[in-house]
Amino acid sequence: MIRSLLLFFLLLSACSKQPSPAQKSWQAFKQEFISIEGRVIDNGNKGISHSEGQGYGLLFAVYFNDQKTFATLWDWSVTHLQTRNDYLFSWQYTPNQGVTDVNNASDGDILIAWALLQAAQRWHNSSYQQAANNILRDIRNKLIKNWQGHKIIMPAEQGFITQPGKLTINLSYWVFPALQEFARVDKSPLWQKLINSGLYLFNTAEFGQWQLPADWLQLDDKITLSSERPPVFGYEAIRIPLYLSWANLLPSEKRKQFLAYAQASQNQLGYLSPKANLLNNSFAEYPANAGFISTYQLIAQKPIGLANISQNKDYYSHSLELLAFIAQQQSIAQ
Amino acid sequence: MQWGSLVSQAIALRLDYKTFKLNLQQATAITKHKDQILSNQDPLRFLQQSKLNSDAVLIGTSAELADLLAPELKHKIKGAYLGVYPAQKNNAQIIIISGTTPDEVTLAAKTFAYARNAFPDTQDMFIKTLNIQPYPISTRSNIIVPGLTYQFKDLGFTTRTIHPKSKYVSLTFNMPSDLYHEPKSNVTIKLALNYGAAFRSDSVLNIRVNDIFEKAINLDNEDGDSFQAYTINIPSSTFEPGFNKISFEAVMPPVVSGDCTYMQDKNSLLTLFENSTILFPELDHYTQLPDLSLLKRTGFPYLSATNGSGLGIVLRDQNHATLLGSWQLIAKLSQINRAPLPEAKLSFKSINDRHLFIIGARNSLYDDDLAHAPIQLSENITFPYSAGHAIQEKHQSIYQSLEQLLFPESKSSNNALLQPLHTQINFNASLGSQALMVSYPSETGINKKLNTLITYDNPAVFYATMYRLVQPELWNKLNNNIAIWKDDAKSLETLSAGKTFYIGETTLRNKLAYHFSLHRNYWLLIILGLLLFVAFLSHQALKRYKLKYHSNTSEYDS
Repeated sequence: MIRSLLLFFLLLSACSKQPSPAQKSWQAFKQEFISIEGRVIDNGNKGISHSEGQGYGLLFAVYFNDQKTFATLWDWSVTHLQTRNDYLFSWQYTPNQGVTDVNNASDGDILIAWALLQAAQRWHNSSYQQAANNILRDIRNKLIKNWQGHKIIMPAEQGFITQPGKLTINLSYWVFPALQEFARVDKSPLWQKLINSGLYLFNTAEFGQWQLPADWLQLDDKITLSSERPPVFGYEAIRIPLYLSWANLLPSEKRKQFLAYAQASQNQLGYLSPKANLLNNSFAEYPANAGFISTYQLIAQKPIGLANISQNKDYYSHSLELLAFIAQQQSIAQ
Repeated sequence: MQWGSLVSQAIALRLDYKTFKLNLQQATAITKHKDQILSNQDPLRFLQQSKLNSDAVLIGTSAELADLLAPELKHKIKGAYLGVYPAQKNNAQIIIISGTTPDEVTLAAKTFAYARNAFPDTQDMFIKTLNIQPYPISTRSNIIVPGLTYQFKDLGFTTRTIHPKSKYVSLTFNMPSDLYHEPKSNVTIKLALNYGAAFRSDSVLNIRVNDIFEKAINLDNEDGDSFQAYTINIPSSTFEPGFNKISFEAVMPPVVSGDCTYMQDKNSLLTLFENSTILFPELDHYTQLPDLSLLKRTGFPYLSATNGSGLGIVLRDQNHATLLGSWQLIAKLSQINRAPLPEAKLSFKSINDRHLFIIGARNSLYDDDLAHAPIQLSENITFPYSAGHAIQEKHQSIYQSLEQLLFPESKSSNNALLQPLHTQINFNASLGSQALMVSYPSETGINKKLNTLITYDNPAVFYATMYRLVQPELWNKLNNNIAIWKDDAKSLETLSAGKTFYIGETTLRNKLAYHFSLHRNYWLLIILGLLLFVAFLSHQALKRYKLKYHSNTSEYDS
C-alpha cells in the first residue's frame, strides 16, 4: 500500500514537472541557436547574428519567463550591436569579424524595444523600461518618413531611398502588436499613425492572382512591387499576416485570400508553397518549412502543432514556429 | 569626445577668464624622406607639423600615436603620461597626453585639467593616481549659504583704512543662482568701523551694491566715532545671482576749504574692520526658468552640481563644427565653475535625467528635441517674432470684489503685469550664418529639466559663431530664453517666448501661499465651509449643554 502510494506520488511529481511542447521547443531553440554568450545564430545565413534574431530571442525569453537567458541576450546585444551613435542596433554581426554593417534594421530595433517593454513589465525592471524608451525615441526620430500623408517605417536609417520621393519598404517591418504596445506606453501619436498606415498599405498593396502582399514594396506616386527585389510573396511577407493575427487586426476577407492561396498550392503541388511569384503566379518548387506551416495554421485559426525538434533545425523556421505559437496564445488571451 | 572636453576645460581654467580658439586636426606622420630624419634628435620628428601654427595637444593611446612619436619617446609611455615638447616653429609647445589604454589616457587628461599649479620642471610626467576631492554637490567655497552669518574676513576681506586717495573698498561674494526672494527678506550688514574727526558734517560713507547706490551713513560726529555693529539692511532681491560686490566709499571733505587756503586731509580716515558681519536670510531655492541671464552669470542650472553631474551635452551630428562648438561651450562653463566638470556627459546619444545642451545642424535635429520649444525648426521655421508687450488683463476675483465691497478704502494690489506679445511666423528660409539658441522645458511632467538647443545651417561658420558667443561682449548680454547671433560683436538679439517653469523646492508655507494666490476662490470656499462646520459643532455642543443642565428653561426666558 505504502509502496503504491509512493509510486503514485512519484509519478504525480514527475508529471507536473514535464515541460510542455512549447517549453521543449524553447529549450531546443536555446540549445541550437543561442550561444553561451547570448548571440542568436542564424544557421541558414552562414552563422551570422543580426538584430532581428536578437529581438526574436528576447521575445521568446520573456514569454517563457526565462530571465537569465533574457539578460544574457540583452547584454550581448548591448555590447556587440548597440555601438552606434544612438540607441539603435547595428544589424549584422559576423563571428570573428564583429559588426560588419553598422546600418540598423528597423524590425530588429522594434522587436528588441517590444521585448524590453514586456520584460520591464513582467519582471519590474526599470532599466529595461528606460532602455526601451531610448530605442523608441530614436525610432521616432530617425526611422520614420512621410509619404502622401502616411507615416512610413524605413527599413533602415541609411539607404532605401533610390530617388527623392521613391522609397523601398518592407511591410513585415510593421510589427503590429509591438506598435500597439508602443502606442499604449509612449504618448506619441506616431505609433497609431503607423498602425493606420500599415493597414492602409496592407489593404492597398495586393498583387497577383491571390491578391497577396509582397516581400518588398516601392512607394513613389503609387505603390508598386520593388524593382530592386524579387517580386514575391514569401518568407518576408508571411510575417505580415502573422503580426496582423497577433494584433487581432487581420480581417476575415484577407484571411480567406491567404487560405485560397494555400488551397491552390495544395491542389496543384500537393504541398504548401512558401513562395509565389506575384507577376506570373508561379509557385516554389519545394514545400514550406515547419515555421511557414505554423504561420498558416495561425492564419487558419487552427491549433498550432509544434514540430518535432529534430525536424526543425533551421533558425528562421523555428523562429516562425515559436512566433506563431505565441501569437496564437496571446491573441486568444486578448 | 570626452578627452577633447577635458583638454578644453584644462586650457580654459589655465587661461582663467580669457577665451581661446580651438582647432581639430588629424595628426599625421611624415612618410617621405623618413630616413633623412632618423638621425634627428627631436622626439617629435615624425609628426607632420607644417600646418601647426600654435600650441597643440596630441592625445591618444601609445598604440594610436606609435607612428608619430620617435622610439625614445614611445618607450617612455608605460602608463598615464603627460609630456611637453617644443614644436618646430613659432615657439609653440606640443603637449602629449597618452597612456597604454584609453583609461590611462583619460587619467592623464583629467590630471591636465586638475593640476592647476606649476607642473614639474621636466618634459615628462608619469601619473599614478588622481584622487579628486569630493566637491559638495551644490556649494562651492565662494558661494554663500543662505541663513548663515559671515564675517567679512570669511569672504576674503581684510581690515582696510579708506583715505581720500583710496576711493573705496569692496566686499565680493557669490550668491546662489536660484534663490526665491520674498518681499521682506533683507541682508543684514553689521559694520565694525571707526572714522576720524574734524570732517565736514556732510561726510558720508556711501554703500553701493554692484555699483548701484543703496545706503549712506552720515559721518556727522565732529569728534570721530567708532561702531561695533552699525546695522544696515538691504533687500535681498538687490543682489544678483552669482557675483556681487558691496562697495564702501567714504566721502570726507575737510572742514576747512577754499581758494588759497591750506587744506589737510590726514584726518580723513575711515577703517572698516574684517570682523564686520553680513547675514544672508534663509531663502528658498526656487526660481523660474528658462532664463539665459542665469546661464550667463552662473551657468545655472547646468552647474548646479559643481562636478558637472547635472550637465549633459548631446551632439546630433558629427560635424567638426558641432564637436568644436561643444568643447568651446564646456570650456566656458568650466571657467564659470572655476573647476573642471569631470562628470559632465557628452554624447551622440540622447541623455536622460540631466539638464541638456543639444547641439547640431538643423537638419540633424530630432523632432523630439523641439517638442516643447517655442520654435519649430523642421523643414519650415516657426518663429515667435516680438510684437511688443501688453498689460495682462487682471480679472478681479470674488475675494477682491468682496474686499472692495466691505472695505472700500482698501486697495488691493494691482501691479501691472507686462506680457510679451508675439507674432508667430512660419517660413521657409535658411539660418544663413546665424546660430540660434533656445531654452525650454524638456517635458510637461513634474520631472522637468532644462533643454537649451543650439543649432545652425552652415557648418563652415558655426565654430566662429560659437567662439563669438563665449566672448564677454556677447556672453554678458545673454538674456530671456531665445538668442540669435552671428560672428559679429553687435549681432546678438534675445527675446522671450514659450512656457516657463519653476525649479527647486519651496517651503510648505510658501507653496500654500502660492496656491492660495492662484486659487483664492477655492480656498475661500474651504474656509467658509470650515467656519460653518465649526459653527455647527458649536451649536450642537451648546444644544447638548442646554439639554443637560437647563432642560427646563425656555430659550426665551429673560
